[in-house]
Amino acid sequence: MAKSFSEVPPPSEEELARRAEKAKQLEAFGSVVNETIARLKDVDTKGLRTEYSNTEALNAMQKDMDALKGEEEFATDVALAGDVLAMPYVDVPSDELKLPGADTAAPLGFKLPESAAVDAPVEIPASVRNVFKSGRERKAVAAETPLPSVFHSNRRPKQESAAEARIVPNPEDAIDRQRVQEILTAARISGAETKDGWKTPAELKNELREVVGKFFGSAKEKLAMSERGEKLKSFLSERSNALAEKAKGFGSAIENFVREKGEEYNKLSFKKKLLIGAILGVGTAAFATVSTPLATALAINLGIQRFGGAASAFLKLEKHLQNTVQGESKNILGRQEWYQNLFLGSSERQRKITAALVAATYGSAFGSALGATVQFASESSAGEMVHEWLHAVLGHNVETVVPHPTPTEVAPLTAESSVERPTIGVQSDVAEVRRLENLIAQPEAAPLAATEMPPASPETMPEELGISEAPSTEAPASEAAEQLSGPTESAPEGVGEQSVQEGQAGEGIVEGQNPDIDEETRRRALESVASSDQGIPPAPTEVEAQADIEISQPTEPPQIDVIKNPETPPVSVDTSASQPDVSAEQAPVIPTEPPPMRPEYTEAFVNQNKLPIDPLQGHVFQDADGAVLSYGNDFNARFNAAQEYVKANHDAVVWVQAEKPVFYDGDWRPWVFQVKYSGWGPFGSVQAILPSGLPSLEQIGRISPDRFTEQLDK
Amino acid sequence: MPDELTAAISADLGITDLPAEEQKTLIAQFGEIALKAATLSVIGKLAEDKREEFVKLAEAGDAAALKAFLDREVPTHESLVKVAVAEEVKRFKDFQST
Repeated sequence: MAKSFSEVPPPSEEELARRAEKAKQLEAFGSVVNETIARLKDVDTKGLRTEYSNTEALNAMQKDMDALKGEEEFATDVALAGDVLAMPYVDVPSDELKLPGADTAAPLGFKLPESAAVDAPVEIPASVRNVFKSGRERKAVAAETPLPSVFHSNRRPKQESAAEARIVPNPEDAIDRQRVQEILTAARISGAETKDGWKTPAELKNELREVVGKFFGSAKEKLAMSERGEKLKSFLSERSNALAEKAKGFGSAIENFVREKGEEYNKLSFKKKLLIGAILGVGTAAFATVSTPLATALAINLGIQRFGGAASAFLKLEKHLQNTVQGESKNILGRQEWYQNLFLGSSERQRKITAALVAATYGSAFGSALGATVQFASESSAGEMVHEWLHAVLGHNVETVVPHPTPTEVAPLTAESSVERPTIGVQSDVAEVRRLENLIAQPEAAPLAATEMPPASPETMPEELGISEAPSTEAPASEAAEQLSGPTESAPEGVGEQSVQEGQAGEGIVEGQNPDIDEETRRRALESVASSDQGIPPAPTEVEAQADIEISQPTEPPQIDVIKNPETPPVSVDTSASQPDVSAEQAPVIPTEPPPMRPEYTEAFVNQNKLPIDPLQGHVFQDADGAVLSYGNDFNARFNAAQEYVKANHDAVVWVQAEKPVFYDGDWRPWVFQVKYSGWGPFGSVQAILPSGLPSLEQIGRISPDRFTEQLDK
Repeated sequence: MPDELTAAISADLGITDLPAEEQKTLIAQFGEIALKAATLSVIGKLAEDKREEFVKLAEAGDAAALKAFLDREVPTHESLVKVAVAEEVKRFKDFQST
């Protein structure tokens, strides 16, 4: 046949080394092929359509492949160290070559049956002699020459299996038979044309390359970017490196932080990347002026927690906006013609983006989202009207960038300040809560806010409310309250029960069911409801500020219970009276320091529900209404008790009595705030929810232990 | 929704003429730039002794707490972010025009 075993000279050391090197190359080639096929299958089925994380890996593999291809041809037709074969192949009629004892064969897998006699002589028909397709040795081997076992693979399998054997390389030429099997299988899948019969190693090699090339080719079609795209991609890569260099200038901690955030970002889905880009302002500036109070924080935190609920909120907001333009909204706001007009001129795309941004960046309370939506809309075609409306209602001027309230100053009541109540994480500790509490307790807050209220714009007040002759802010405030207290068919996920409860506080008043309540009382209650729904502290008007000024300051806060559903309004002011200007000269001196609060009980007692209570300890209780409240004479003790409780009960919201009273409605009054757990499981944190200005009406009052029915943190 | 945002961001970046897949690749890549630029712009305004606190808060994953911190320490952080991102958009578009 091709040559006798004895004719192969023993390789030299140098030759062995060369062959070993070639073997490594071949191994690398096979490895690349194998991994590439696996990768491409993965990329083809899911990767390309959703993520691009495989792109670099594929490009790297392509590079490897190119490098390998650039090498000297693989020695698949060269005997490798220890192979002593390098047999040329011959075309053999399928029925002429018989392998003794081999009733089956799997040429593709090169699995010879064990029954095949390894050393049995093979009868080579004369027709195969001198029929060499390739090979360096052209000396025919006598049919009688016994062949060593390694030659068995060079024999033609039986006919029944030969039909499947379209590519049959020398098994020993391949480093990994399984890989070849996979490649060939893949070739059939990909429709690669193959020929029946034997293939030389060179042909096989070419075929392999062709197969791999097909995969790479198809992948390239999807992966390869245009020249411009590649150029832009390179630019962004360089820019990313430049920013990384800049981060180094801030120290290793910042450098690591920025790098880790970049890595974290890259692991996100495209959808999240898109939203992060959007809330950072990329691509939305042209038509969305939604201020994003949490943008930085969200983006830096990658919005992991928020995005979970954002999708649901988006769907609801989108539906709300769609219903609004179709006149099908059941929401009070959505039924307002002026509000509908805002979005009538908007495209579906604008509405969607509005909904997306609002959902992604704002709190889940609908009132907050509404504020953002209105602000967005204010820049639309109907913006002028909204501009005036906002100006009249909230003192918000859309042309002015309103700074977010900071703990060191009391911000005016504006649309933006109403969107988010500042919250304090547990990291801020008791001292921080106290500090903000003190700020809230500053009596100057009310007059300051009042002075920020803009003049009325009567012509912008909705006629249907029938209160157009009311004082400056009356009608819009009422309207806002009605809108916000109305049914919210599209309230985003996360609208808390608290908001509902708070909204109920002034519901009857809001709807104007009590004719005995005068207009000013109604207005103030409406403001309270609106404030509580939107997270706005009640906005004292000029009228209210005036009322405040006329009341002398008590030295101690009153002992009152928590007001949850006040039946009587806090004050009644005659709005028909002319209001003198308020000036610094006229203003009476208001105490800058609130008086200390005196505890009701100084020793353990049993309340009316026969519940033993020790006021010297901070504990969490439940009252007859099911509210969860922290109680104890010492602020630290009750605040810590509330934190511990919400840590153990993430869904709980605990009311805590503030340490100092607040000057409210002309008197020093105790007030309460919420402590709750925010975030996902162990990754969340405890938050104290403090108002940015004065507490809302629902927060004014003292927690009374007499109504406790159960101690929850035993 | 993603398609709408994709279109909007592509338009802002001036890459609408590229194939959709390329647009997505570049948008995703640009987002990283925007994020880094925004973060660094805020950090740059932070006092040195506050940077460690910033990192801790950011790593804690509580956006509200981080916002409260930024409100206090860098009251203009929202504007800074917008400016930083706008600059990156401009830089990207300028590069395309060269």
